[in-house]
This record gives sequence, structure tokens and C-alpha cells, in this order.
Amino acid sequence: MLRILGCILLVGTVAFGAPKIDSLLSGYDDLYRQVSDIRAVVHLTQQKVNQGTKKLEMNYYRRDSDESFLIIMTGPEAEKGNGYLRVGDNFWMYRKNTRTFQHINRDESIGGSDAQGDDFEGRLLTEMYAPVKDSAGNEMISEEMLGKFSVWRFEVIAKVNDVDYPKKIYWIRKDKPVLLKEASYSSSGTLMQTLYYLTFTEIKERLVPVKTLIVDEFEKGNKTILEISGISTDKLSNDIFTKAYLENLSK
Amino acid sequence: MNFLFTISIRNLFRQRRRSILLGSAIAIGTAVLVLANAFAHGISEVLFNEIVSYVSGHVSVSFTKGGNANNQVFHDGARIREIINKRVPNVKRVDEAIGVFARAIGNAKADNVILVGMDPSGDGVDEKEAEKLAKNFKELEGHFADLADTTVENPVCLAQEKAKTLNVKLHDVVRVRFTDIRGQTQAARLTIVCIMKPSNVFMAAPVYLHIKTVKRLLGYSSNDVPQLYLSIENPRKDAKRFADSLHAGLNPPLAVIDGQLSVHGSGVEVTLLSLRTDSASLALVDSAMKFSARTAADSVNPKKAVIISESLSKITGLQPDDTCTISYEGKFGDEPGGARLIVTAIAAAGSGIDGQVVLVNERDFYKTFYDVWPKSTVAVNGPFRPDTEIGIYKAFGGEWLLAPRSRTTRDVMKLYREIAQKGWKAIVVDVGSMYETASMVLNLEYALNMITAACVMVLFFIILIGVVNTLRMTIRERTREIGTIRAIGMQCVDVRNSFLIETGLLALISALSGTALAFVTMFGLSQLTFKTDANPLGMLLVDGHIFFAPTVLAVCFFIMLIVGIAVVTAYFPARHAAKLSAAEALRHFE
Amino acid sequence: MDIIDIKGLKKNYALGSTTVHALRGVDLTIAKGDFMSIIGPSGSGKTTLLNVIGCIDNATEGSVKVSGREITKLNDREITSMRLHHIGFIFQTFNLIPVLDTLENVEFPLLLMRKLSKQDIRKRAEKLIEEVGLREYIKHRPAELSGGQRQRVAIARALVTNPDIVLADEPTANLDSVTGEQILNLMKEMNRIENTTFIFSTHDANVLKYARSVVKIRDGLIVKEA
Ligand SMILES: Nc1ncnc2c1ncn2[C@@H]1O[C@H](COP(=O)(O)OP(=O)(O)O)[C@@H](O)[C@H]1O
Ligand SMILES: [Mg+2]
Repeated sequence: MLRILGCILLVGTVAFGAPKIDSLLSGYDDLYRQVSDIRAVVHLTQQKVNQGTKKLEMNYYRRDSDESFLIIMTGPEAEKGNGYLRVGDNFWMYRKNTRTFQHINRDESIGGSDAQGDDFEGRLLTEMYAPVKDSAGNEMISEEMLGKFSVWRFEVIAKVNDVDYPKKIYWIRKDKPVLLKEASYSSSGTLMQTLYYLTFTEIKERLVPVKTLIVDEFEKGNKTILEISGISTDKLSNDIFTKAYLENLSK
Repeated sequence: MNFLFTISIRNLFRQRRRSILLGSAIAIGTAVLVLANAFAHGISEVLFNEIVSYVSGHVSVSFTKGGNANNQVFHDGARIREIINKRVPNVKRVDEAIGVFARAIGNAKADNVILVGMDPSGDGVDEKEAEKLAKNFKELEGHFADLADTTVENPVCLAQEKAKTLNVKLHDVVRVRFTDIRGQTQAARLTIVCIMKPSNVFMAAPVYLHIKTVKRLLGYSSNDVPQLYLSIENPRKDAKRFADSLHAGLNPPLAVIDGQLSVHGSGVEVTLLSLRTDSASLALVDSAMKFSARTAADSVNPKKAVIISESLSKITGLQPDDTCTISYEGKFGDEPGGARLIVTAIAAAGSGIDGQVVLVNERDFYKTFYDVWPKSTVAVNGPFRPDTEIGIYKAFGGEWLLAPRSRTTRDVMKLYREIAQKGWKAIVVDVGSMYETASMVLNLEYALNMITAACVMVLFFIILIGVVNTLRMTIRERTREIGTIRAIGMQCVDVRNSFLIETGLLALISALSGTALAFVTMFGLSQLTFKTDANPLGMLLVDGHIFFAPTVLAVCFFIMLIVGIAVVTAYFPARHAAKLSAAEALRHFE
Repeated sequence: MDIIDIKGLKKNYALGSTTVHALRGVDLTIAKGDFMSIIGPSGSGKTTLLNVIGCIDNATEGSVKVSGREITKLNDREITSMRLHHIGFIFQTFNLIPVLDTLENVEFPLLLMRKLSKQDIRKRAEKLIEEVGLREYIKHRPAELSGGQRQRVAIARALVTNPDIVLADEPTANLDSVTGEQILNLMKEMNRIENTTFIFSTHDANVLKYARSVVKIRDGLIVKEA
């Protein structure tokens, strides 16, 4: 779910007119590559049927050069101080109470949320997805109105097996390459989840989504609001992506 | 000797009250012992034959692909089955075991469920097994056999309670969301064809689909097998041995892909070998190989290494950073396998890999290998076969990775942590016996045996105190009698023996009546019906009844044990009595 | 020929810190086939003497020969066997085995001997029961018999093994005088039929008339032999 963090800082280089889907995707990837270090504060508001609302708050650090990230929970109280650290192939969960690191599987959920370790991996969209073509061999891309914006709507399917969803539909603004909506499907064609990118902020002349609504289309009524603030793309200190850093925080 | 028995029996009847008192104590003790043992054994039977064989198999073979515990697949299932048949004689059943967590949505109600695959009509499901199934899954509505109905969309059977929580009825549809073996989120519609009442709570949690249905939903292809559970005839005796033997049979051959390498339209036959990229193997690469050319990235991150031999470089003109493609024939289906490789290094001649060979980092190698299982194997001739003596040989990967046999549950857990951590790219094959995988169940059996042992101890003290006291009274009372028979000419040992016989007989009769009592009690208790759904221990019941499994051997052993304890306990007082001086004894008046 | 030959027999008992001199140097020979009475007051050492002769108590000093064998040198197994094969006992308190009936009580020593067949044992026992006049009581347990009848069973039991010597320690002390006389008559009769040596002790001078020879004992010493 937090994959979208990988897609923040999306602006610009896409040509006008009916574009190729690949170029739209690689436009994303190019931008994505330009960003190496990110720091942000993330708020997750999860609403589940019959279970009320759960709020999670965390500090998020990422460095793409060696596929590292660090998450430090700052709320709620029960989760405060816990963290997740990934350096290269290693992924640990840190428990503040026991002051222990536990090596975890990538599919472990974070802070008991539906966000999974996998979501934090930065992978290039063009490596994962290819455009869907109709019977005539044309890419499935069309123009639509989404709210007050006119958008490109296009479908992609997974090129590789290890992606969360085998099929996706994207809605991207025509005037600027800004992703507004994203729908994910299962192999059987069932709509599983929809992402709405609601508000954006400008960082380094690029529009970055800072409020995203994630709707669980499978279990109706479950939704998550993801809010990002305090974004910084300054180079991060090497000390951050270490176990010691996590431990020191809870001292 | 005969008349000693006669006298002993008559003496027992003479002191009727005392005999009955001690005898009842021994009898009740025996009854408790036999009962406890039959109960413990009954539970063990249920555990071993029902629960263990369903939960972990007596022997299990597990596959973990890509370090992902959810990715339980092996692509050449027939091969594994062949090895099993060869290595595990008289295997009763080989069950494909799949259990996957899913979110299920019924009629406006959602719940977490486990999708479990089963095959109610598979091989090895004999009449007895079918009977057991019918007993364990009592059909309330619909038919269990309809799981195999192909005209229905994903037929499923679930427990009454589950149907209630999901608010669904027969023929309703339950939607489920789950992660398939590739890690993709998937959804499916399951049609309820059977609502049943399971014999224990244990079986009420999952929803049951035909194994074929689950495999399809989870993305298994027809050659793929999931985890395999083997049920064998005599698990306690053979599980470990068979697991060891199966393990020995599962040693992987070297993985090779023989195919066509093409560069700029021209092709050449090559063999691809997997280059393991764990630190030990990488160190071996550094020490055992010399490179005539190498990209900067390869020295920094050899995890993406694609190394070709110098001769291959000459033939093809391939240099580091050049791209080539490989295509090869698959073992299953018509689809050829293929890969696009970027050369990172050229091995200098004399490294042991002179020839038409490409060493491919394990990540890329196994991705290709498992995507389309190659037809060629190391056993047949190919463009290149490495000499097993060369220094680098140990860094070549096999068709899979055989995990060492774990000896304890701790080892098993450690292994799986390691699998997850190391992210081994080869499928890790692990053979386990119930002694490692179901140790919790075995611990329960151990606890029950401890209860039996405690019974033995209590019984031992009853006998010890009872026999010693009774004998002391008896000897005091009969001192003059002892003097008389000694005077008449009975040998000391015979006097001692007569007391031993007397005690032994009492113990034997008591133990026998105790056993009879135990059997009557067992019969009575097994007539009771317990409500299983509410009770977490319900899984230990058979059809709501306590299941006792007394064995002739155990009962005989206990009877002998009790008689033995009694006789040993009686030995010293009896000898003391026999050693009394005849003259002294005769002078004794009470 | 002397079946018993005792020389310088002394028997001491330790009683607390003191020593009781029960026999203080007895010399005695008894001929085979004798019907001898040992008479003396209570505590004079009669039982002790009979016990030593009967191999159920050992001598402190001196030599005791029974049927030509020096018994003071035998171990427990040998001396037990000696009792079984050569000596029969009749006790003041009868000492029958309460759980066995008349026949079984009489058969008992023969069964211990393991020499005869079951039938022969039965025959021999029945013969002796016949001789002591208890034919009708063959299936009775001791508790169902009178004192005299019990002592008859004891006599039959003592004689069944055909012993060299029968020792009877005050056999009539627990019986009324009439029955006592009957018992002594029976013993005398048996002595005649079987030619078995009988030694019986008594403190009652009235029964001396039955004895062929009499030994008087007092304070552990033989005071008169007649
Ligand atoms: N076991 C014994 N311990 C101590 N003194 C004993 C024992 N047996 C017998 N005496 C003593 O030896 C003496 C002779 O006893 P005993 O032979 O029984 O006499 P009797 O049979 O003539 O009455 C008595 O003074 C008696 O108290
Ligand atoms: Mg006396």
C-alpha cells in the first residue's frame, strides 16, 4: 500500500498527445530514479468494518542506492518506538519493549496494518508491468474525465510473477503526468483495491501526492487514508539505516 | 511346590479382611493405571493416526521457493513422488497439503479462514479412510463428494459454525481474498456445496476445497506439487527412519540448462550452470577463478554475475556488458525456456570451466530454471559438464537445495528462519518426520505417559506400604506356625517362598480384578457423549466419545509389574520370617 | 544300639545382660525303640533338651549324636533335612496347620520329603489316620476337632515319615486326664507297632507309669536315670 511512496515526486517529462503506455510508465520510473533519499512523516488512518478507526503515525526514511529504508513508529502509544529496518536483503522488525531485532519475512505486515514489507521495495514499474493490448494490437488507452480533470486511462498487466496485482488501471492527468487514480485487479479480473491521489504538494517543482485514499474494493467499507507531510529529499546520514539508530531512539 | 500354592491361597482366605483391604487398594491402583494408560494410548492413537497425519504427516516433504514461506511449490512433482515410492516402502498415503489464509466474505459478514485442499477420493483413501472421513465430516447439507463437481464454480465445504459466522447457506457464494504462490493478491468465488459438522473443533476452522481447486486458485501448474504429507503404517517405529532414507534419496543433482546461446543472430550450444551467491561460494569464486575480463560492477556486486569461459568468448565474440539470449527445451509442455543475460566477466582459461559454459548467478539462473524446467539433466551428455574435482565445483547449485535433516523442532524453526533470511534462490527441500514437525503433539503424549508413570509410582507406594504392613502383621500372627513347619522340616527358602507366593497371588488376583474394573469403567466412560464444539479438548475425542486404546502388551506388562513390585517388596519381610529360629518361633505366644 | 548319645551338653540363653544356664552338662544315651519320659518341674530344661535332640535348637557346648550323626556341626539346610527325615514332633499345643484338614496335615511332611508318589503319600497318611482312629475326621480342619483329636492328628503327622525318634513335649499338658491317658496309650501303641523311639517330657508324675525308662531333670542337670 505504501508503494505509492515510491511514486511520489512525479512530474513532467511525458509528451503530450496520445502517448505510449510504456513511456508513461517509464516517465514514472525516470522520476523515481532521480530521487534517492527521502524523509517524510506518514499518517495512516485505517477504517475497518465493525472495527472502527485505527491511526498509525510513523517517520519514514528511504535510500534507494542500496534499497534501504527505516520506519519508526511514533503513534499510537502502543506502537511507539517500534521500527522496521531494511538494508539490502535483510529486513528486521524492532520491538521497543524487548529491545530485540527480529528477522522477518517480507510478507509480514507492518504495525499490524495491511502495509507489507514488499510495498516498501522500490521497483521500476516498467520492469513489472506491460501495456494491455486489444485484439487489434492497440494499447488500451483512452481519454476520460476524472472529476474536473481530463485524464489518460490505461491498462497494464504484470510482466513478472512477483507483483502484488497482476493487472492495473491507471488514470493520469493529460496536462501534467500526475497519477490521480489507480485500480488493482486479481487474475480473475476482480477489482481488489482502488487508490485515489487526492492532494498534492510541490517539491522541487514536482507535484507529489500527499493525501491518498485507498479503498478496499474486496471487503467493502474498509479504507485507508494515507497522508504524507514533512517531505525532505536531502541526503540522509548513513547512520540512519543502522540497528544502533533504532535502539538509540528508544533509550 | 503345589501344596505351597494351596496353603498360600487358603491363608489368603483365612485373613479375608486384610487380603480384601490390600487387594482392593492394589486393584484400584491397577485400574487407574490401566485406565490412564489406555486413555493416554487412545489419545496418542488419535494424535498419531488422525491429527498428526493430517497436520504434518508422519513424514513430510516441504518446498520453499525464493525464501518465501508462502511459496510452497516444487515444479517436478512426479520426480518427487517417484523418489518417495522408492524410498518409503508401504507408504499408506501421500497427501498434497495446502493451507492458505484468506479473507472470506459471505452475506454481509466477513471472517478469516484457512483454505485447505483435500481429495476425498484420491489414491490411498481406502474404505477405512473414507469411513474416517465420513465420521470426521458429518454432512448436514449437501455432499462432501461434490467438492469434485466441475460444473460448480470452486465448490467448497465448510463447518456449520463457519457458515453461521459468514451468514451463508448451501449453494451461497463466499468470496475470498488470498495471496497466491507468486505473492499476488487474488480473489475467488467459492460455492458452498456442503455444510458439515466436524468431529472436532480442530477441523471446524478451515474451509475445504478439492485439492485441485486450491492448486488452481493458488496458481500451481499441473507438474507442481505443494508440501507432501506421508502417512505410514507404523509411524512411531518408522517415521524417523523413513524420513532419513527419503532425505538421502532427495540429494539434488547439479542443475544444468543446455540450450542455444545467440548473439547477433548466430547460435552456439552452451550449458548454463548456477553460481551460488552466498558468501562462502563467492569467496570460492574469488579464490578458485581467474578472470581475463570483468566489469567493475561484477567485482562490486557479484550477485548479478554472468561468467562465460574464455573459449566461449572467442567463439561468440562476447565481451563484458554484452547481451545474449538463451533458449532451451522444457521438460513439460511446448513452451521453450529462455533468458536474457548480460555478461559480467570472462573466466581465464584454466579455471576449470573451459568450454561452452555460462555461469549464471543463482537469482537469474533459478528464475529461468523454475520458470521452464529444462529437459536436459546433468545425467545426460550436454555441451559442458564440469569436472567434480575443480575448485569452483562447490559453488555450483543443484536443481534444488536439500536442507539438512533437522533433529528437533528448534532446528526446524531455525532452518526456516535461515531460509527466510538467506533468501536462497533454489527451492529448499526439507524432509521432516513427525518427531520434529509435530513435537507439540508428541510432548502431549509424553505428558500423558508421565501421568501413567505417576500412577505407577503411587501404586508402587500403595503396594510397598500395604504389603510390608500386611506381611508384618501376618508374620507376627503366624510365628508359631512358622516354627512348626520349620520343626517339621520345611527348608528356610520354602518358608520364604510361601510368603512370596502368597503376596504374589494376592497381587495377581488384585491386578486382574483391577484390570477387569478398568475395562468396565472404560466401557462405561466411552458410552458418554461429550459436546465437542464447545470444548477445546474435543479434538482428542472420537466422535464425541473418549477413546480408550488398551493394549494386551501394556496390560500384561502392568500386571507383571504389579506382581513384581509386590513380590520384591515382600521379599525382605518374608526372608526375615523364614530365618526365625524354629525354637524361638515355637516359644512365641501372643 | 543307642539312637541318641549326648555328652556334656550345655545350653545357655542370653537374657538381657545375664546368661541363663538352661542345660548345665547333660550326659544321656537313649536306646532305639525306647519309650522314655523326661520328667522335671517347669523351667527345669525339658523343652530345651528336647529341642536340642530334635535339632531345632543348637547346643552351646557338648556333643549330640542322633542316629549316629553329630548334629552340632550341621548347617541349617542339613539340620532341617535331619528333622524332616529322622524326627517327628508332638507339641503341647498340637501346632497343626489351621488351613489344612486332617489328611493334609498328615500328608504335609511327606510332601516336603518329595520322595513318594502322590498316591503313596495318600495311602500312608490314610493308614496312620486310621491307626490314630480319626477315619471319620479325615476332612476336618483342626478348628473342628477336639484337643484329643488334634493331638492324634499330631501323632499321625509325627509318625508319617517313619522317623527314628518322636519327640513329644508335654503332649498331655493341654488335655484332660482321660484324654491324656488315651493319647499316651496311643503313643505307646504306636511305639509298639512302628518300633519308633518315643521321648516325651512331662511334669506330671502320674503319667510315668507309661514310660519304659524315665529321666529326671532339675535345673538343667539330670538327677536320676531309671
Ligand atoms: N529363649 C530363652 N531365653 C532365655 N531363657 C530361656 C529361653 N528358653 C528357655 N529359657 C530358660 O531356660 C530354662 C529352661 O527352660 P525350659 O527348657 O523351657 O524348661 P521346661 O520346659 O522344663 O519348663 C528356664 O529357666 C527358661 O526360663
Ligand atoms: Mg517346657
